[in-house]
Amino acid sequence: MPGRNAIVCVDDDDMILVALKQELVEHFKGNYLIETAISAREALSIMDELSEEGLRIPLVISDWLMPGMNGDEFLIKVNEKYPNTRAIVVTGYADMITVSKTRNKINLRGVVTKPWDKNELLKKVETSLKY
Amino acid sequence: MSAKNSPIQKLSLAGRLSVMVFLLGLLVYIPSSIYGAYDSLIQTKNELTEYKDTFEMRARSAFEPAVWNYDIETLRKIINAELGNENLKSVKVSTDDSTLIWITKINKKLYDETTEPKGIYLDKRIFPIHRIDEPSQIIGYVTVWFDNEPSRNKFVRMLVADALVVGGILLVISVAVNISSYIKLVKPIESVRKSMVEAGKSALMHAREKIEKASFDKAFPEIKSMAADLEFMLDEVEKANRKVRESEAQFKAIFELAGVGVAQVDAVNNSYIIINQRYCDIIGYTQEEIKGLSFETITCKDDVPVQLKHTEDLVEGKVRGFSFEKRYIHKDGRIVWADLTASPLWGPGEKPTSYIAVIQDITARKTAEEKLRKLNEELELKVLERTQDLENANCELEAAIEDLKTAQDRLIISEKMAVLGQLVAGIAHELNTPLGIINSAGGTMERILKNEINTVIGFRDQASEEVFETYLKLLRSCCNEEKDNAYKRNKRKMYYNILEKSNTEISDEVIEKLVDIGYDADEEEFAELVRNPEISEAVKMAYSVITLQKSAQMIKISAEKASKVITALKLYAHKDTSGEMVAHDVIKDIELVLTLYYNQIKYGVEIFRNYEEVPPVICYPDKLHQVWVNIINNALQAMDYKGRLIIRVSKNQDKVLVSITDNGPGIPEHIRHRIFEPFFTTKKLGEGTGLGLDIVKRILEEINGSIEFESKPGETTFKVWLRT
Repeated sequence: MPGRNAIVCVDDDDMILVALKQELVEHFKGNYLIETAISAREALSIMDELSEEGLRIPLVISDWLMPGMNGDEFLIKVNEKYPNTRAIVVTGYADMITVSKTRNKINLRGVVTKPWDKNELLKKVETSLKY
Repeated sequence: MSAKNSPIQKLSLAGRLSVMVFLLGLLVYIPSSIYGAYDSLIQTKNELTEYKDTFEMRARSAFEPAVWNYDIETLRKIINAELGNENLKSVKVSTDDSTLIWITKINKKLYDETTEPKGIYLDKRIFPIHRIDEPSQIIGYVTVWFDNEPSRNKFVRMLVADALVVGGILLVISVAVNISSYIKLVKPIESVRKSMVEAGKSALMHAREKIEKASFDKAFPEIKSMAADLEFMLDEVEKANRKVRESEAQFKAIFELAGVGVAQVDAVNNSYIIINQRYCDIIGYTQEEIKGLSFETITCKDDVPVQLKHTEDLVEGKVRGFSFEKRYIHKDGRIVWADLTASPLWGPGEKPTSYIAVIQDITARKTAEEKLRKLNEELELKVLERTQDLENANCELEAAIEDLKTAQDRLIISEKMAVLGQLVAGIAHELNTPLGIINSAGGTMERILKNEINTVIGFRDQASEEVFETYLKLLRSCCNEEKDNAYKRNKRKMYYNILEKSNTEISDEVIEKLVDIGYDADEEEFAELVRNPEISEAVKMAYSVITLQKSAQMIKISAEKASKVITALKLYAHKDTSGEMVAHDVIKDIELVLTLYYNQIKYGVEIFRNYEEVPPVICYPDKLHQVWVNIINNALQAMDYKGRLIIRVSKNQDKVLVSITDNGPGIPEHIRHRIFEPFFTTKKLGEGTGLGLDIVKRILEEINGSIEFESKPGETTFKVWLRT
């Protein structure tokens, strides 16, 4: 297991997480470990745990508007702690991110609007992982 | 007057005084001098008579011997001696037939004369010389011419000297009187007179100078006091003059600048004496032109007799003034209406002189009155018309009120829709999420069904007994509840540990799927499971089937979620057409609104529901939503979608009380009284209509409810009472 790559998905809606995971597991088969978190706080603790175990986390897929810690705050923390980890945001309000002042403080590689198009999502994920 | 020509009148006061003193002296002197003269006249006369008598006696005795003896020389001696007396002019001694001697004194020299001396004052006497021894025998005659002239002259001289002395004295006194009266009387009086003349000429300054320059030291005290009085009087006059000037200026200003026309009119011939500018302006003539006119010429023909009658009454004293509205003919020919008031300047019983006429231009008023009268007539007609119109309008108005009610209802609906518009973005998201899930799950199901359904169907026949058993076991284990992430991670760790120990190769995909479907195996069981390499197929199969199942479940749940939102929307946007109030569950209503707002609430707002069991309220349900929408929306905006919202529903006697409390910054003191005003808003353009709370109030009034609020920083509560 050590040396494997993991993708962490964060959303306050558990069904979104299930759907997302289904898409990613189906796509990557076993190449990436897919972890899900119902809040940013949980996501951070999972990321800590995974990296302790020696896993690399090249990508997080996060919701933007969440109770408690918001997407921007979460991604800033991720960027501080895991500068190599890239981010894709899945949100219902895409325009909120383009105007966000935090844009340059996060390692953002793509924005996917809800409801997402499966192909668009997977393409952006692939791109983020490759380059 | 004749006195003017009298010489006395021409004399100055001093001259007259002198003359008077002189005449007075004479008056005193003349009787005494007459008396003195008479006295000395008598005395002189007596002396003369005595001399004449003694001369006769002396002569009778002295001449007798000489005559008797013809002794001429002795006679001459005696006569010469006698002629030494000045009262004797000539002596003739004669006998019956001849003249013995005749000596006459001419200019004090004695001459032997034969003619009678001449002179008016001569007194001729003849007396006989008797014989001493024979007194009856006359021996001669003595003729004597006494001369009265020296005595008379002496008397006259005395009189003249006396008169001269008295006259001189009187003259000196007169002169003294003259001088003194000039200094003490005439000069001061002249000064006073001159200053009075100056005063008379209104040259008060000169008058004062004159009276001040003149020295009154030598004047009589009366004149001094008169001068002082005059000075005082001049002061008073000056003061009075100043006042007069002031009041004159005032009067003049008032007279000239008066807003009314003022004129002094001769009461007898009706001509203008003085007239002010305003008067002239009103009737269009200059002051000079008017003075040549009488009022008849500038008065409208119809008004002349009226004014004449008034003037007549005034002159006859029947009235003490009159006032009437008349028409003047302006110089340019137009009619000028004026209000004329006349007041006489003579007192009752006095002879009529002139009166003051005051006129005011009332043309504008008259014109206006005329217009008004016409308008009034028109108005009456119009009133009739308008009454009809009004009745019609009333009908229209009633219809308009009906329309307005409809409009108000429409306004409420508009506001409702406006709120809905603001909610749409959130609601869209709220729908997009379940739709996204449905979409994703549907896609997953589609893929599994398309690619793997044959494998799944054929799996029973192709798989070994053992693998199929595992497959069924896996499916059964997953029917349990979804495992949480931490559990799954632990399982995954455990599985990898076992694989490491047992040195078994199995793909990450299989492990991942095993973990994901929530397979709950202990170490022994897992080790047993992975011993058979064919197990991977069973895991993949089970995963596909469970994914199908999960997806179907997700679709169901998401569809329900979306349906709930749609229902809320439908309820909110519903338009009640029955127009009747119904019993309604208020808690359900609030929850409906919270559903609509869920998307905006869920990220930052904690909602505390404190619901008691309450009876249904009587209301229009489709309007009542708006009450909660507005209050909750305001609360959320006030706390910027972060904080605590407490919703309490309780029974309060026969009413239901809903109170909604937020922990936002509170409503500022200075706008509290305005928040229910229509179009009052603190929100940015486009964020609010400003109608929200106004509509809330109207809706509540309609259903006999009420609203009030309390606000302080950190706690704002809106309380709504509803009828059950």
